[in-house]
This record gives sequence, structure tokens and C-alpha cells, in this order.
Amino acid sequence: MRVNFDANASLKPLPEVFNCLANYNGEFLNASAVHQSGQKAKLVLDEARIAISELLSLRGGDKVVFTSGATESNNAALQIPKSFIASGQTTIACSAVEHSAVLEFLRYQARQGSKLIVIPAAKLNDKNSLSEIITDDLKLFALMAANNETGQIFDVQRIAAEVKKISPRARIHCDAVQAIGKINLNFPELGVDTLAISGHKLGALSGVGALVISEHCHLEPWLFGGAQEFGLRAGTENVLAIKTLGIACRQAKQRLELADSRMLAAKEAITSFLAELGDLAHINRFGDQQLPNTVSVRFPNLKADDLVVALDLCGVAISAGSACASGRPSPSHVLLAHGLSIEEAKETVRISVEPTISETELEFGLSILKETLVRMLERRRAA
Amino acid sequence: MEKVVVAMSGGVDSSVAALLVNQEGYEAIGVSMQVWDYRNHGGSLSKATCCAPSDFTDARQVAQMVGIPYYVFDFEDVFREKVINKFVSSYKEGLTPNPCVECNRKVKFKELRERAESIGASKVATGHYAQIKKSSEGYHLLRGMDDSKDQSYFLWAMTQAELSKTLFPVGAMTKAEVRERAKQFGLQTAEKPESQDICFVSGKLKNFLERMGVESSAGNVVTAGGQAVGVHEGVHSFTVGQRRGVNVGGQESPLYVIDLRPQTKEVVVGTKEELEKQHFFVSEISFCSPKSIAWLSSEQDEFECLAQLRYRHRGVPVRVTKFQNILKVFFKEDWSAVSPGQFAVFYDENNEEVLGGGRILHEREVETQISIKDFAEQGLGAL
Repeated sequence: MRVNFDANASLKPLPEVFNCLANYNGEFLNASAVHQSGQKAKLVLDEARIAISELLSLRGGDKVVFTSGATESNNAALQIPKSFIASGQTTIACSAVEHSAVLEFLRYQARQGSKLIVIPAAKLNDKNSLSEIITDDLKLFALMAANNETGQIFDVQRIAAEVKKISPRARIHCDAVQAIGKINLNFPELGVDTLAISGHKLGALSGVGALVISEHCHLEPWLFGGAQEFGLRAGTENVLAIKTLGIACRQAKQRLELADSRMLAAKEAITSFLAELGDLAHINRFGDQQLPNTVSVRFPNLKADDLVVALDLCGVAISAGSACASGRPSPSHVLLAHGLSIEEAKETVRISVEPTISETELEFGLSILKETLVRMLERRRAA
Repeated sequence: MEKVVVAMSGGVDSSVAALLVNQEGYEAIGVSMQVWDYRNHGGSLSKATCCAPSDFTDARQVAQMVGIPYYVFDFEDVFREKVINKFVSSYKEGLTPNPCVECNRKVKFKELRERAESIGASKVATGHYAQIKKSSEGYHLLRGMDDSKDQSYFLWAMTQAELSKTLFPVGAMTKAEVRERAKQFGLQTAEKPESQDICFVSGKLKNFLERMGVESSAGNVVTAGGQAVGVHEGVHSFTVGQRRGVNVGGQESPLYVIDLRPQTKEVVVGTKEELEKQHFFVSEISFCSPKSIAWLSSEQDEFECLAQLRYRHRGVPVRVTKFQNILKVFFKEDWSAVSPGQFAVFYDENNEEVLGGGRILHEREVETQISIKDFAEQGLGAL
């Protein structure tokens, strides 16, 4: 048995997604073609757009643009329009705990001449403290709905309103990859201009995502060569993958309440076990609200990398830091931004359960977690 | 099932080691050690001899084929501290380092073992050509079966405890047999060429040292009497005992490098008679055979054995004597050149079993070694 306690990295493809792929009849799929096969492909895209619209309560004028994934969505949303550049240096801002797909792209923009303000996560929790940090020249602001590593949920609605109050012309982007499917999100109420979605974090295939663009927002195209996706993103759409994204969004909407209670029960079981360990485990809690599925925990004097491997050998997947950073495992910038030392960051693991976690999976995962941790902590103590 | 971590470099020897460990009924776990990031150190990735992504890809695919789990462990920090820094500082001091010995004793059989035990593995296996035999007295480290590949020289610092928890699965095979076994099993590394160079130096050693801050400044070639007889382009291009590259003309007999003085940028040359020593001193002593360990704690002052003074050296008869807290080693027959910084490894009279070894001291180091270090600091206390 293998259990996915690394759901924030990727969900297992949903059974419905599996079925869809198993039943694929070999139809050729170019949604731009005039013939009937093309029209069917077009319908697949329409259905998926509707599924996303319903999940996020989109308005008629809001657009859903399919992309290759959340990295593309984040990059596309954070381009700096030429009109901004023409009017002098552009000020952009984001939280210090953004995913690298946001943070690294904005750092790239800063190297190109923009002024980047990186806001400490704690500042975003204090109401009305943004006016000390940003001014009315802010053009672009990025904030994630929930953090992948710590599970911290940001009050995007309040913060977006504060940003707009300080700088009404600022465009606001929300990386909602980790929040979607785990908490209820209403795009118009959030008050942001763009929002990024990832397919595989919802149980669809990887390599597909979407960018939601508000009816009030104008983005410039980022891929050229065809009229697909409202002329913003040229290239034949990945129809099958998009179909799985639509399915996953539908499932997410249907199961939201049920999933919430499942995830919370699993998280409760895991945290109460960790609490039993006393000083041997420190649960990281940042901000007022956390995702119902994510536990960030530090085991002093235990290498997170070793725990990841030891659990993997027993069939339980967890992660240390962010999966994307694992080319050379460097300590998580998110944990460092929260004031953890490099050593502490290297002792921290993330346990994140799937919205569809079953009781058997929880039981198995928890027993392996207990067994392995007890053995490793015992050894640590003996040494 | 007993878990064994197999250190996999992506070469044929460690590939076959993984195969054999798995076939012998252990639960094998493949691990590659990330020790050096060429991209961050100005090296050429394509010329890198290990830690190159292609080697990890080979190791991963071999592990997949053998049917064992595989991980990459990050050892960059400890490798930099224990191996690279030592390597660089040795050159700065005019010594000739041996990074493979340092890597084995301070990284592979220390840090890797520590992490292996942490994930629940009781033994570490490598693709070294050396053998471990057990007798009623204890463990014996023997030369590899294949004379031309024997790597026991690099392993002299292993302790009895380490030998008891180490496997050298290819030690009793010839290189040809190893390649044949890899071929039979269809391993893609079967025909992979040998890596000859120092793994972390891609390109010229001189360039690497310069990047690491070892200045290559020209100086004089002098005789032992201090007479300048020529010029050179940098002390660190020379090794004691070297004959080639000593550009001094008009001499009756060939000249050798007999000493390096980095402080005054002098390369000292002399005749064969001046080069060869009657005796030398070693510190950082470690003994690995039951017999030699017993000798060390006995009243006996001396023993006779063979000493191998560098990797490709046949071994010469010596008399080893206790000299305060270090060892003084006399050549029994012909006197010989020694390179300070290299390791002297002692073998039994049959030139088969490793007895132990130590680092060859430069004459100027001897006094400080005796005065400031006690036995325990030399590592002898651990025996």
C-alpha cells in the first residue's frame, strides 16, 4: 500500500479522471478544427470552462484561459504591461512566502528594472499595516490564497481591498493553487484581477492549469501564433488534460464539504499524535487560519530528508520543503521567511493529506508515521 | 529483511554492487551522493566525472532495473568542508592531498553511514575493489581480487566497527567479470568508461585551484642550498618526487622536486640522493587489522610490514616504530621519495591485508604534531 501524505505536491489522479482516460475513444482533438471532431474538442473546453466558472462563482465576463500549469499561469499574470514600463519604474510587491513560480518571476522582473517589495507574511496578517509598506505607485501585487508548505491561509479579500484602497490601479494576482478544492473560493468576492489554478493539485493530470482573468482586467498575450484562448495564449489546447481539469473541478465542488470533514479528521489524528511526542515535535502554525489538510512539523535533531526516505521505504509519501526546490535540496525560503534557522528548516517536514483520504489510508499512514518516528527518535536519543 | 544502503555513482562497479546486494537477499537501497555542484563553481558540467546529472540518471535507471528504491542525498556542505577545503589548503601548504581518502573516511563511511542508519539500514555497500574477511580475531580488510583495480589503499582509515558494517560486493571479482555481470543483466552502465580524474575537478587542476583561491604565482626553482637555478609558474603544479616539468638545464644528473615552499614560492630541486629519505613520519594514524590494533596498545615498539606510499605504488618493506604520539617509519631496503600530504598505507608481509596507515608529514610539521597533539586527538584514542 502507498499513501499520499504529500497531497500539496500532487494528488493521485481522481478515479473519475482515470475513467475518462480509460474511456477515451481515440477521437482526434484539435478544438480549432471545423469538422465534427474539432467541434467535440471545443465542447470539451467549454465544459471545463464551465466547471471552473462554477467552482469559483465566476461572472459572465470573467475569462478562463487554459495553460500548461500554474507556473505558466503565474508568470503570465505577472507580466508587466508596456504601458506600465513607459511611465517609468514599476513598483511590484508580493508576500515573502509566495511559491517560486511567483517569487522567482518577480525577482526576474526586478532584475529587468522594476522595484520589488517583498512583504513579510506577518505584516499581511495585521490589518491596515500595508500602508507602511506600499504606496499609490504600486502596479502589481501577488498574494497566494494558501501556502503550500505551512498551510497558512491568507485573507485575500481583505488584503486585496486594502491594496486597492492604497493603489486603486494596482493589478492583483492570486496564486490559488493550494486553496482550491480545500477551501471555498469565490472569485468575484476575492476582488483580485487574476487567479492561478493547477490541474494535478486537484487530481487532474499534470501539465495543465488555468488562469482566471477578471472582466475588469486586461492582459496582453503571452504566446503568439494562433487565436486560441481569447488570443492570449496561442497553441493547440491540450484537450484531454483540460478535460481532466474540468472533471477535477467538478469533483472539487461536489465534495467540498465532505472533503473538509475528512481532511480535518485526518489532520486532527496526525496532530494529536504529534502532540503526544511533546518536545520532540514542534508544529509550525503561522497566521490565524490554516488549510484543513496541511501539517508543518519540525523534529529537533532529526534530518527531514531522512524521515522522508524512511517513510517512503515504508510506503508513505511526505516531503521536506517544497518539491520544486529539490534539484538541490535547499532550505525552504518559506520557513526561513517565518524566522526559522537553516537548521530548523532542514528539520521540518510537511504532511498534507488528500481531500479524498479514506479511513484505511489514514490508519496505514498514521501507523507507519508512528512506527518510523518512534524508531528514529529512539535512535536519536540513544546516540 | 536487513536493509543495506548501496552508494551508487552511476558507474559500472556500484551498479553491479547494487545488483549483487539485492541478489544476496538484502533489502538494497540505492543512494547517490550529491557532493559538488558544478554549476555554482564555474566548472563544466559536461566534463564533470561525477555528480553530473547524467550519472544520477544512470544510477536511477540502474536502480529501477535492479528493482530497488533510489535516492539522492545531499552532502555538499560536509564534502566542501572535509574534502574540498582540505584539498585546497593542502596545495596552499605545498602538500599533495588525496581527496579520495578524505571522502571515504569523512564522508562515505561516516556521513553516509550515519544517514543510512538513520533510515534504518544496518550496512553500507560500495563498488570498491577491496575485500572484507571475518576471522575469530575480527575483521580483515584485504586487497581487491583484481590487482589492477585494487582500491584498498583508499580505505585504510576504516575501523573494525566500520568493517563489520560494510560490504564490498565486487571486491572478489575482476573488472572484466563486473562488466560481464552488468552486461548479462542488461545494465546500461556495462560499457561505461572509467572515471579517472578527481571527481570534483572538471578541466585543469590549475584552473580549479585558481577558482578556489590558490594563487598561481611564479617563483624560483632553487637547490637545497638556496641557489636559484630556474623559474616556475606556480608551486602547486608540482609534487615532491616529480621529475618531469623541472626545467633546469645543464645538470649532470636528472633533477627531482624534493620540496615545495609555498611561503617563499620556491620549488626545491635536487638529485635522486637528495630526494630519497631514510625515514618519514606519519600522523592521523588509524589501524584496521586485529593484529596491528593489538600492536598499538602493546609494549612492543616496532613492527615490520610493507608500506604503500601512493595509489599506484607497489609497496616497500619498512619498519614502523612508535615515536611519541606519531609513527616513525624506516625504509628497510632502498630509500625512497615521500610526498608529504599523501597517505602511507601499511600492508602485511604478503602485501594482502591492510594494517592501517596515516598521513605523511612534512618535516616542518613533525614538531607541531608532537607538541600540540596527544594520542586521542590523533584518532588513536578511538581504537
